[in-house]
Amino acid sequence: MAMHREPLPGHEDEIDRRVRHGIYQSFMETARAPTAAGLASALDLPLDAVARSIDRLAAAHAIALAPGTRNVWMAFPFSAVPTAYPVTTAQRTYWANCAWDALGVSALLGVDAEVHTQCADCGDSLVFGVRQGHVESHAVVHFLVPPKRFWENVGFT
Amino acid sequence: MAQCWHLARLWYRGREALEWRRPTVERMEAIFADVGLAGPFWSLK
Repeated sequence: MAMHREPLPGHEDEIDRRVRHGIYQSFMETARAPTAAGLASALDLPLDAVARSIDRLAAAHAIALAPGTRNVWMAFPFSAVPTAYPVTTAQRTYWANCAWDALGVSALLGVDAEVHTQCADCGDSLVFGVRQGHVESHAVVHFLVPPKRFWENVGFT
Repeated sequence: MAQCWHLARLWYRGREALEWRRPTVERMEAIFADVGLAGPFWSLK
């Protein structure tokens, strides 16, 4: 069993930065959210320290957790669960939370990507993507919820 | 869509970095303004 030194008080900010970074690394490399245990192992931190960090990150709206759990649901622009916005790159397919986030996956990764989805208005198939830094679509992105209210119901947003 | 792509680049580039810090409300509003998103809908206050 690996032994971990309990983090010193005041080091929470450093732990939170490392845990947040670890969450993003997992999404980027696998398109999946890490577990708390996986993060603890990868970062060589005690599990309870990682768990508390995940709670702080969620409270700060840096990530979203599946309700009633400590499972990472969203690390924007990534979703841990399938959505209407699959983002396909040369490496793999990611799930994005919305159209803005779908473009955000391409922006964050710095790669070309294609999104196959459906128009939320008429249901027609809709394809958009980024190629060589330029977006290819004449579709319109509609924002229903103003940004200052995003977190009232982040799943609905 | 092109406007949203501009927004996505300003909003998400570098988000994964260890040293990334949440932007201030003022910075977020400046991003919206840079992209041409103005008016009460886009206010964060």
